[in-house]
Amino acid sequence: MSAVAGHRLGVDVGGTFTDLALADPATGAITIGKVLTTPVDPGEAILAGGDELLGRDGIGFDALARMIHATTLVANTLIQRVGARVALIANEGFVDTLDTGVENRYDMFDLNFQRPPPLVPRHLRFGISERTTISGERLRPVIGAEIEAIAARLAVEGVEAVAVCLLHGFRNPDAERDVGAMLARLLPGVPVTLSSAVAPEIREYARAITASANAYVQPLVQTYLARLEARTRERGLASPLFLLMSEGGLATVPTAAAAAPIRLVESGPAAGAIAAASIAREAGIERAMAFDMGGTTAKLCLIVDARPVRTYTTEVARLHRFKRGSGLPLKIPSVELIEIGAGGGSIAHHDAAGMLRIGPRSAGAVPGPACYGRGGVEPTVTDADLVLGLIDPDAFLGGRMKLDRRAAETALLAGVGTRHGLCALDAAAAVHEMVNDSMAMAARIHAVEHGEDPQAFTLVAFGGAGPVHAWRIASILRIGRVVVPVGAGVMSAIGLLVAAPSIELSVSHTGKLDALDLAAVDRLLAERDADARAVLARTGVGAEATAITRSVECRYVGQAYEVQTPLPEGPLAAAGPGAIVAAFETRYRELYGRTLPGGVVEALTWRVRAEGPRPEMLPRLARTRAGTPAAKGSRKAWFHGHGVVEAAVLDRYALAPGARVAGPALIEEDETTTVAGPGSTVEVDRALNLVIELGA
Amino acid sequence: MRPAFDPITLQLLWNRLIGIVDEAAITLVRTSFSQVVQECNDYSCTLLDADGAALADNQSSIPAFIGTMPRTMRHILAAYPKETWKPGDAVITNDPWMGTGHLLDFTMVAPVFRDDRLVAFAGAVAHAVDVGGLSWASHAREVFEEGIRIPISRFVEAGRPNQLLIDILRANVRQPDLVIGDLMAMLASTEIARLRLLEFMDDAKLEELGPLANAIHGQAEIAMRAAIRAVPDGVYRHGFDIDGFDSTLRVESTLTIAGDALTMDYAGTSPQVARGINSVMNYTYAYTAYPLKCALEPITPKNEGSYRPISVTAPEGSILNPRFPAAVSARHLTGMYCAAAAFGCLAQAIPDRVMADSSGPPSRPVFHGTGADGRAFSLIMFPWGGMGARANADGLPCTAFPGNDNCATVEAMEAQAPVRFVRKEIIRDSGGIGRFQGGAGQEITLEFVAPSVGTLAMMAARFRTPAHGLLGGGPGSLTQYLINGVAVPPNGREELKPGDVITIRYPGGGGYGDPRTRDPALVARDVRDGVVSAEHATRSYGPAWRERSAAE
Repeated sequence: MSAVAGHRLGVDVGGTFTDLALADPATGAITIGKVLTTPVDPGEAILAGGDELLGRDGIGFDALARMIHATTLVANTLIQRVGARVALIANEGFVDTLDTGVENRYDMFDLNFQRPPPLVPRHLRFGISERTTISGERLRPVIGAEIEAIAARLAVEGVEAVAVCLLHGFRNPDAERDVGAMLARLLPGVPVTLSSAVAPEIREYARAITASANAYVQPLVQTYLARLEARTRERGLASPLFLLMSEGGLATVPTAAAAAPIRLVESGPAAGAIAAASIAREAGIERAMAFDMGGTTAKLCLIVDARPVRTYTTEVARLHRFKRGSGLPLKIPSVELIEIGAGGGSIAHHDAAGMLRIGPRSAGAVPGPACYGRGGVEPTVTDADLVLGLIDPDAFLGGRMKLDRRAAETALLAGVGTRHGLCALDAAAAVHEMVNDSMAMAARIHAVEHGEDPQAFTLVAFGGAGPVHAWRIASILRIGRVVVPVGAGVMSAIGLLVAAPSIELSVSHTGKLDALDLAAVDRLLAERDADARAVLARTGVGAEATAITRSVECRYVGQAYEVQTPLPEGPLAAAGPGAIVAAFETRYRELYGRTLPGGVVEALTWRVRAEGPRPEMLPRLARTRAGTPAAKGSRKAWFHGHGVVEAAVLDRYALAPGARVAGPALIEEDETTTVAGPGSTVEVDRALNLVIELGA
Repeated sequence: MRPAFDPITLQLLWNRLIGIVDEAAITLVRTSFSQVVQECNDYSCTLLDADGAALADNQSSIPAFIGTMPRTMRHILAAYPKETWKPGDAVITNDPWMGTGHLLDFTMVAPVFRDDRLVAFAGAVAHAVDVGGLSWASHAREVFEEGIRIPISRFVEAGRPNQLLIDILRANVRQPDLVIGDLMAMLASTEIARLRLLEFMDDAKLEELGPLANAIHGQAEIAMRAAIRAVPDGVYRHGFDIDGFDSTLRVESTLTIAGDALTMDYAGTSPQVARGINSVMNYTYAYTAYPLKCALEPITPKNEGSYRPISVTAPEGSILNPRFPAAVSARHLTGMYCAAAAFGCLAQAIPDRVMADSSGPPSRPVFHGTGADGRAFSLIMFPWGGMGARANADGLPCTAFPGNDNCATVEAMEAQAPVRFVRKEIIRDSGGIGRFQGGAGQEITLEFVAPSVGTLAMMAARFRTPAHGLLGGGPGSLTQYLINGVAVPPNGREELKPGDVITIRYPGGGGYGDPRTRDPALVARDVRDGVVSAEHATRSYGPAWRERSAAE
């Protein structure tokens, strides 16, 4: 594919840093840039960082075959509640779903719990008399006069975007479309989100939230993207500006907007998972856990057959970071990333019951961990890692920042040690173990929820703190192998360079499989297929290069959990319901070890995924310093089950493919340190990954 | 004496035990066929030590079952003493008095052997799809009408399923495949717990669980005792009317706090009634201990030790401790009032840490009939009214308390049964007034669109007696059932004709504190949002809110 033959630039805008990665097609090498994010106008850092990085190769934006962008703008807009003033139009008598949800409590013992405030206040929610039935029949039409009255009210209220969510709109979107058309005429310039367009799936609660969230972020995102694209054009960018969607595929600015900006909500984190998947593919790893531990959080994504596991329900903007159910549920396709724990900057403290807890509060970059010497006095995970000898106070960020070990010890004693009668080292070990143990447990539970055995996985660790903690987490999970990719600190930017254009479209058509009109389903799927191909064509992917996969959510009648079931190729009417039932039962058995004798299978939501080709080569970071000695000496470090032992210290950049090191070893690079405990061995593979075999 | 575990190690091991039951719970939920287990969260998993004392519950478990499990375990050990267990055994019961208070829940327990030593038990409780008889309804007169009762029996003996028991069960329930399938799911969850516990003991180099169990129980008990000690000693009484079935009944409660222990006694409570709303002692205990833990010590993970300082008594033969063979199927209609009793007593000692009455016990309408496709359908709805107001925040609208089950969405319910919703909406002015307002109730109106007649079985409470406010807060609105606009007795059973329109009004929660001290900005917001009418606002809170409204 010619579109990926030239230079590619990936830009990942995070909260603190904007990471850039540039791939040179001639050498396969990547160069990396890192600049401070400019929160008010993120485009500034993107352009400045891009100019600098491209300048190193003596080229400009005009030489780029592709520019790919990941942004946290959508997630941050929801978290900080700085989006548009949104109204919701629903059926009369059904406007309260945003407040009540499924009516449960996500915390069983906390009497003071709150739900996340709805994105649309109740006085901006309007009911109309329209009704569509479960079978899609239009019982009552949309009344023009009602919409006119609402539109007048919206104008007075200064509403900036509108969401429409009508019952059974997933089955028959005509009523929502009628409302949308009327609003377009009555309120020109006010963007309207139809739930049937952004999340055409059964269950109005998540659909209404998804539509509202899309409306909420749309004005901001559209302005930002249009402006960014214009500015890159001015600099000579000829290719479209690509965006990484939550599902892990690329879209252009217009197609991303068409597919709904809310689908960018996991854009940044998805990039890391894509990179890990690409590494797993190249290394021939069938099952990997992508483990990304940064400054404030640790995230995990399962990778099966070199693909990140996807989900169609994702939760954002939680009130309590570690509490499932405390956020906004969104019905969008997304790489399934779960937060499994704290990051390096997370603070160790005691809860009201005297239990040691790590995070979710973080020391951030300012004041930062106590060892940064910038005024932080509370002990963090990084302080513990330093006191344990796992990271070198003089080699942090390539030696550009000296860490203060004494300050870390003081903080650990004050915050943890004194309370339990522990010395600084033991307090550090307690923090280190506590954070590792809780992450390992969350990872295990997540794997089990997917019907997977954690022991069958390889841990792929990255982020500044990931490689420091991976060895111990693997040993808790009885995982035998850890892979630390090269460029562990900038994996998201690298992931952008290896992502493929893709789009996923869905439609709910529910019913028992033996009673469904499969010819009708074939027609619906054909429409989605054509739409998906058209979207990809606009990103430059030809029909012959488009791969289509289809699936359906099925379950036994009476059950609440759907199983994503791959569909056979060709017309379903010809294959018959038996083929779908067989595919469902195969998958069901994989997940749960058994099937239900005599169970009736029903289908809910049908999906079509179209994917373009991936860039063929995996770019390499040209960061080796061949010829320099790898050994840097040794230092005392603490390892679980062994206490303090002398560990070899090595320079990662001097390790060539094939090099082998026996643990205990600490392998240092600018952004992180790879910890390999006693009994393990480390080998450098041909892609320069560090592969740790844990041993018995 | 030096403790067996340092605090950090203890916490790590404790967290691991919770992780084990969480994994067992995932196995149960995802292999269960019961919608009530899956959508409505009506299950729990527990790990118990070799003496049957609870060590850890799964984190998303429900209040009732974690309270009943240890008590069921005592009955099980009485029937099958420790030395009689063999590897591969599993015991079940759904006896209401030994189990969870009604026939619909099965409790299962399996032993964990390490080599040939019994080291623990793995337990699971789950709501069955069906148990024959009337199943879930409030109008039975004796437990015999409510379904099949399985005394404590071996479901599996040394790995061999008890085929006679399975055959008897199958012959007595409406959906035998699903009922047995769910018991197999429970068995799978105990097996996962067993395997993980053995791995855990290997990792932690533990030969036995005794010392760890003692340490965990000890810490939870110390935390609870410290919390109780912080409450002023005294005898606190709270009595109130409850709806009952045919006539109003009475709950009388006396909470005695003495040092680091407390006793709740229900002397004076009405005698048991010949309808299925009696709450057996296990259930009464669970819904008394649970709100006490919420108010006093919500943080430490719950285990046997947490509840050791709490004792609960109720007169035998009362609605809170009925004698066999009382009907008990809808025991939540009485037992959930224990939360109101607990908070009503505690409010006299620590008013800032309790809530006003919530709308629970919730109405649970059950629709039966035949759909257009000729297949039988049933739909149990799980909505909630408003939660009680807190000392520093309004109660939430339509929120579970003290239970914690989920209500399905309108579209999911319409997909499940031939009903068409007309309204599911917050009821204006339904939350009790107060400095902090009770959560709003909701009105659910739906049309029965089956092609032929069906039935509606109603289980309801708070149709005569509202959720009361605290410290000057007002009561919430009442429960109502209407068919075609005409009020019907809310505890009976009605025949439904195609086209009938059913309305159920779920009650509001009680308010907290003097309404005259409510922030006018909150009143103005509620009026603007339509949660409160202008007239109600001025009548209840005075005219000050109008200025706030005008200022915006």
